[in-house]
Amino acid sequence: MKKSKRFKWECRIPSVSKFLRIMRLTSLLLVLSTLGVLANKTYSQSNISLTMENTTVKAVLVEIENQSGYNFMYSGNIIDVKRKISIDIIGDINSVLKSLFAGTDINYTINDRIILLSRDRDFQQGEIIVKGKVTDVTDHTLPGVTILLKGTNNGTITDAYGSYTFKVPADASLVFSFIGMKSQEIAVEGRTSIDVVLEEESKGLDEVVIVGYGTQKKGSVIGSVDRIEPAQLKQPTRTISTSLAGRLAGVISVQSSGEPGYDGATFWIRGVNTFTGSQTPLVLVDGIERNLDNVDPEEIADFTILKDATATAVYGVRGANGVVLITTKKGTVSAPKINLKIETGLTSPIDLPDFVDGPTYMILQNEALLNEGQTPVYSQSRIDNTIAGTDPYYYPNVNWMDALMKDYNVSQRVNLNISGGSERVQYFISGSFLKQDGMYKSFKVYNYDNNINYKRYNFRSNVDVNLTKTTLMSLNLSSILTDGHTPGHGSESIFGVILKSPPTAFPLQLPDKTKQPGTEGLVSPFSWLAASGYNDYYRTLNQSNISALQDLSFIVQGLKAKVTFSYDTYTSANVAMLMNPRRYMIVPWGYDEDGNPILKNEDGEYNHVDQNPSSDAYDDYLVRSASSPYTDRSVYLEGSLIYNRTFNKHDFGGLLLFNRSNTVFPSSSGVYESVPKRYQGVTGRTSYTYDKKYFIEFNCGYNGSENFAKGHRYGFFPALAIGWVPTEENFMASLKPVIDYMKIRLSYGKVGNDQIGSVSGVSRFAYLTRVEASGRGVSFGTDGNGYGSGTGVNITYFGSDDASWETANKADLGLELNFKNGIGLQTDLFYEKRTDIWTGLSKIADIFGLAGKIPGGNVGEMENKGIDGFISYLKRINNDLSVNVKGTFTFAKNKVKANGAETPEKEYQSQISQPYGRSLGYVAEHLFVDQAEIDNCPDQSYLGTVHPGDIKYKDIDKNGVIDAFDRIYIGHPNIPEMTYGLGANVNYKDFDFSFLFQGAARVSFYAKPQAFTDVQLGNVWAFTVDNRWTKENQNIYADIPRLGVGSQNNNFVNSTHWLRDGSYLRLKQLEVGYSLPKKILNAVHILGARFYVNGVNLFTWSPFKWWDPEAQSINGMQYPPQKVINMGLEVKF
Amino acid sequence: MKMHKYLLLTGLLLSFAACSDYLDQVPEEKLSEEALFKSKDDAVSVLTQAYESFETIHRWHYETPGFAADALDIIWNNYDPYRKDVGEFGPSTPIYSIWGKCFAAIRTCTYFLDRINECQDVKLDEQTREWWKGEAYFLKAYYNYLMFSQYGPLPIIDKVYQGDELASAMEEGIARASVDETVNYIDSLCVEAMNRLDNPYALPERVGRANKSAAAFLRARLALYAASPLYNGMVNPTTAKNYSGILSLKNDKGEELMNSEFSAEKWGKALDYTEAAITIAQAGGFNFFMGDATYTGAKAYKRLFTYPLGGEPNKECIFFKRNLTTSDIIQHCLPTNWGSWTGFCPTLEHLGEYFMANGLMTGDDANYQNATGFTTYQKDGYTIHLYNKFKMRDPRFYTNILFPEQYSYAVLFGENESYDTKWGGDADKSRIFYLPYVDGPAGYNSKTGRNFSSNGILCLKYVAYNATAASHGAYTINIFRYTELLLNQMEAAFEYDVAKGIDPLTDNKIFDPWNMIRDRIGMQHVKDAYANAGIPLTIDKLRTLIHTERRVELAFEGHRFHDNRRWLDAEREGGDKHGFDIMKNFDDGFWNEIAFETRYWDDKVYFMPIPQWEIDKNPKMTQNPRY
Repeated sequence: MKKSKRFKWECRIPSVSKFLRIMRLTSLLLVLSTLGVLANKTYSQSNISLTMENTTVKAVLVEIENQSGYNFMYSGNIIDVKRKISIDIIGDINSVLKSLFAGTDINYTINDRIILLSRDRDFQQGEIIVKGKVTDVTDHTLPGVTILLKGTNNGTITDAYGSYTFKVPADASLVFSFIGMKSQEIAVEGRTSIDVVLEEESKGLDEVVIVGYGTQKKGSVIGSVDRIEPAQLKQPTRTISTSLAGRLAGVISVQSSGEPGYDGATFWIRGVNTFTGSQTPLVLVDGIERNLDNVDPEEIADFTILKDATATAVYGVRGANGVVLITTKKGTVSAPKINLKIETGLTSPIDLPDFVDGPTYMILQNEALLNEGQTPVYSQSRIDNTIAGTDPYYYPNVNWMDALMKDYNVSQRVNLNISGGSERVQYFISGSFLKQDGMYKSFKVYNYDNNINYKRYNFRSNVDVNLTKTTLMSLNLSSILTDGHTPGHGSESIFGVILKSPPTAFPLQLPDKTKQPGTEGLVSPFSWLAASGYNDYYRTLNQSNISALQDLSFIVQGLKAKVTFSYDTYTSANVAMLMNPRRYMIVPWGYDEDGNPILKNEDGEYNHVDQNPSSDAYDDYLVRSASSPYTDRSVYLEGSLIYNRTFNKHDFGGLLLFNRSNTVFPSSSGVYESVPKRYQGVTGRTSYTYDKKYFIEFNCGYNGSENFAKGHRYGFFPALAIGWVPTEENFMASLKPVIDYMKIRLSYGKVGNDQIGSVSGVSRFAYLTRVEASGRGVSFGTDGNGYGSGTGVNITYFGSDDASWETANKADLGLELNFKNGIGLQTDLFYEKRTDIWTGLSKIADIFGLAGKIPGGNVGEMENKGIDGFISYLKRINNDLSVNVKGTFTFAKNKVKANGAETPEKEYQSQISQPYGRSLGYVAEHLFVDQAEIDNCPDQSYLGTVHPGDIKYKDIDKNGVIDAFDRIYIGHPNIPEMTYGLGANVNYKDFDFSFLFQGAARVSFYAKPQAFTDVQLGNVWAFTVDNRWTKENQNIYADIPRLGVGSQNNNFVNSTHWLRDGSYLRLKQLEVGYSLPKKILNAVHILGARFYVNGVNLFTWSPFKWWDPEAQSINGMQYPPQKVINMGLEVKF
Repeated sequence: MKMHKYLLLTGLLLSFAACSDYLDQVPEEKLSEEALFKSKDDAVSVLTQAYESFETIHRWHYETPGFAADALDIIWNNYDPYRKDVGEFGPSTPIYSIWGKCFAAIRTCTYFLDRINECQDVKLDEQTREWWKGEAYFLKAYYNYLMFSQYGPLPIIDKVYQGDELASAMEEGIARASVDETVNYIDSLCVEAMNRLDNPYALPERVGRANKSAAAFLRARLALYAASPLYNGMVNPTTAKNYSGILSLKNDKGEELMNSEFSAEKWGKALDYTEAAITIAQAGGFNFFMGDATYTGAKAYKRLFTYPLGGEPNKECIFFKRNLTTSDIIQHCLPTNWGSWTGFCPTLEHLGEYFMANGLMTGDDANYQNATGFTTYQKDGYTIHLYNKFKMRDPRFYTNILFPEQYSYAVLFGENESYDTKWGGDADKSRIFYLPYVDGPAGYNSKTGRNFSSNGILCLKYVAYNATAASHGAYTINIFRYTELLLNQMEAAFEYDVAKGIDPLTDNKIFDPWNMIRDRIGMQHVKDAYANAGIPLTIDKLRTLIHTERRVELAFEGHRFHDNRRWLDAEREGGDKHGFDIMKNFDDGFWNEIAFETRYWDDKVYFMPIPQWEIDKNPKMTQNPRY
């Protein structure tokens, strides 16, 4: 299989110092290559000085390597390196080599830093020189491709431009091979020019896919897994969590914010399976539990999700919610490949709420007050003056959204990575920079910037060293630095203040710009954003793994051992410098005879009046707000034995693995919070395949965590799967012309979830009764400090000795089909029953004195079932055009089966049998027509005073009173039950085009555009104007009921009136690229260059129109998800 | 071979799996339940925890309904008083929800009593141990009483349910006891407490702790409640309306828990217990505060609520929550232009309850009935308008109420204003008047956010005379104030006389304490006032006078809600509530007495609903009437 078996290259072992030098050179390269200087030119200029007597050729080669940085490659069978020689020469590499091999039949070829030695025999009968170029399907030239004369050990490799020259018999066959590419055999047939296109080896059943703690051949995987082509993850967003929905069968996700640094999506594999514990999957980066959001997409080689019990049982107590496996890139044996990618993007909010202008606001406020039987507060003259814009400081009219938000802002990304290596050492090094600005306008009222700014630096170095023929050492180092800058207040708070502030509340700025607008009780949005100080945060994440893989075939054929050690550290600290300026408003100097306000005095100045002169609660200068840094550190150790062997038609596989981890929290306070988190366990896998037809696999994890009591810590989680490939059967042969491949899989098993939720505020050590100080504090004694004063001590939590993990029982039935015409299909039916869900025993009545600290029990149960799958179509139509389409579909529907709570009086209010995330609400009928209808309908006073134009609700229990018993479960859950996607990549000549549509359905949320949360408070959405009930237009089906003031509880309780269908379809991603023709590139020594434009979240279709549905905002007032349009350049050297 | 090293290493790693100590991470040496009663210092902290909830009495937002009722409008729509006024509550969304909190505190008390004998610390002397037990019994009684006054009869939980006992109690459920059983149970706890507690007035270390007088006080108040119409006969003595059908409350077996049979002896018991409590309190050094050299008259009365630490020199503080700072009631009382939240708004209905300076009720005083317009006078360069209905009133009117243009309580009452007479003026700055006209400095147009007086009136009972805009001062809430015992005695003696057919006018047990109360503030005795006015003191008139005296004297001290109920007179909480028109200016209609709101009423509001979840969780629990 491996090329190296047939063609034994014997590589020089670089000494340690040599190794270091390579490392140093590569870093130099990093610098030089960015300057566009090609590295090999630098090498050939350095002189080599040799003075050696009676030594072997081998020793001379070592010396040359030491002095020059070149590496020799040769076959020991062909080249006699033990020959004794003497040499004394100074010169460049060419002259030295010429001298060294003078008089021998040894020929040398310099390819970059590799010098290939071969026997130069005289032209024999029928030999010709073949030249050519090797490229990949996208026309990128491939350096370092091995070209072998079939049936011999003779070979050469392509140079940095993918070109080769080879002297061969005219009737020979050449074998072109390259790691990751399909080998090709080409008969020379007398041609002297042969260009070869190598295809990627990723297709087919021999492709190696990542599974839990190892790899398997795709053909033998019988767990439910799906993976994304890493190229598709390169969406121009900060985090890849937003790129998963629609691309992976089984992933459901929700992104709720677009704020730089906080724009990650929450995602679930096959939906939600528990209602208290962690619902999100275990994410492993290079085998270690790590955060997904900070991995740079350019560093990812593979992204795989594990869905069913077979695939996840090896993770035992941690695998119940599915597992995400991310593998970072490694170097390959080749000359250094340099990849540079530069992107600049424009970001803009998908949707921002549109509010009414000042005069409309005032008219509507008056209307609302009249509706409440109150006196209007805005006089006609004030409204008229506002319309006329008489004085923007005294009659303000500010559209806060327009005034404070930018239309778009700029983001930047740069990635440079270099990979390559020799048979001995392979490396991948990468550096990335990401910069995103927020959507706030920069006002520069003070010297600091009030806009959000986010910068991230990712560095990675992955090095693999073949220590011996059988030993592979790997070291992965990654460092992620984040520098963030935000205004003094968080976006939630800023949007909250805007929501409160009517357009007429404040001028944007006062005539005297050193004074900030605001009243004592209401701060101006401008001041809250631009004059609140700032918060700089600094986060450092260091990740490292070192591992050794030892082939033990010398003991038992097919046995390997692997040891991995890793440690990660994270620190986060911030410098918050906050201010809260004194608040001023413009007040008339007096009134003229007509009663009009005198706004300017003789000097033309306004009267700025301090709104709360007696208070000293303001800070007109920056105040350092103290905060202590956070830090944690985790250490992980893993040892495993891996066995893979094939005897005839029997394939055996096995894995035995031990691991443990320890995470410490030195910055935590509190006895329980400071305890390290630990787990350890043993994992096993055995698999057997007969004739690539019948599969059986057993996986198990036995592990435990520190979170539970002795005796309840360790759990055993087994899973069994069987598979069958009917297309391998003779009796199916007739189908072969249509169906290329078919596999049926069935699995059942148990997996655990130790991330149980918190009960009575306690999330760790649920088994331990806690005795702690708590409460408001009491004072005794004449001075208030007498004996017993202070905070009392009590049992704050009642532990349950047998608290334990959740158990997931998962079943999966899968079908894989590949049709001859290029269509592939994979689909899985799944069923999961989660038991032992840790939940509060809320059925304990409060009379027993446990209110607020009820104990928990593993009594919850939930069921989840559904289907997921994808259809793909992959076709290379001709040399110019290839198409790759993938459509995914996920449907998961869950039900709570038991929850530890009491049975409610009205059974229809029981959560049992309801999907998680579905809510209780009233059923709105229409708006009340008139007082007569109110008087004749069920009494609604439980919800507050009701007037005509208010929402009328259905009396579910028909008792003549609308109260809490009239709420039923309404709508869909707030997490989509259905997610789907359709994406395609099309390559045509030098152009490429790709897109992804992604959608979600069967999801509901409440949208409540409630204006006038109080008199002169609360903005009004523009759509209110045309869609409201008024006394003049009594539309009882209007979107917006009678305008009112205050809590308006009757109209704004959760009801079907405000429940909205949250389904949507997005053009999630669109990209067009153009690769420059290689002719042009060759002239400037560049392997490939591609320009592209792409966009994210470009269009959204949804039945919900008020604001973007995905974030499920109740009023649209939050930092919205962003639309991105990006331009980029990708260059390969 | 070196390969063996790797093998060895792998083997070594795998062998770690055997050692489970790796997961033993929680330190053993933390505070645990076992160790909790080892030392005196830890044991006392459990008792401290049991005290933690007693301040409930001043948490008017969510916990005690006593403050608002019909005397006050509390404007904020997220607080329970507002929700009660509009009827926005029910079993699923209860208000003033102290159910779980009080049962949790009761559990702590029982737990403490169960375990305090374990404490072998030599520092804990037996006397102190007994006191502590007494305190725990008292607190247990007190929390049960708090719930009784809100929810009516209770399930009696007298032990710490754990393990199997808890499981079977959950399975079977625990039913509500009858009113009598509940009262007797709480009474027995009071007796347990009285038997153990000391009775200090000013023992420095024990100030603020429960004492024998507090236990006797609670016993007396409970007996008064138990004798009152709601729990005794269920007939309003004035209107003769019978509530026994309306407020019928049954247990799971269908047995009636309320008392529709009247028992005169319950009034006798209330009188006995009250007199006993007075005797015990006096023995402990507590007494009626007539004033001292600095504080006399109305100032002595005011002092009871504005002395931040409570206790000495205030002999009336038998049990109290002290040193409450400005963040609470005061902050919600003062005008907006004092940097406050402005929303404790006494109704005109309550203002009408304050007597006239001549000792008559406003309804009995012709001057008041005929009063219109203003008296205008000059003061410190200002023109002051005095609303004539606010002239010559009960001095407590001026200590409790902040009405528009109030300048000085003293000048209105004809006192010498040489000392600090401003309700809140600052001697160093220009004086601040309370001007809540729509364009005034404390008016609606200057309001901040949702903070404003809904009717132009504010409550300033807890605001000290020396408060300033920047420093509002601190205050004490009396949970048990001596004067209440006097009022209880008056009421019990009166009702007992009436029940037994004795002429109350001859009963000194009614008029001696009454005269003391009126003497402190310098107001005419009732008998004299009514004799002067020539109005006869009938039974009904006397009852109204006793109730009114109580409503005025104990205004804003957490009684009104409960008194309305036990007198079967709570219907007054619904309907129109009056105030001034805050959307107007002085001369265009502010002073019109308008109904600023119409409140919800249903007879179910006599009791707060038992939380629905308790009905659902406890198979024997029954809901209060009409919910």
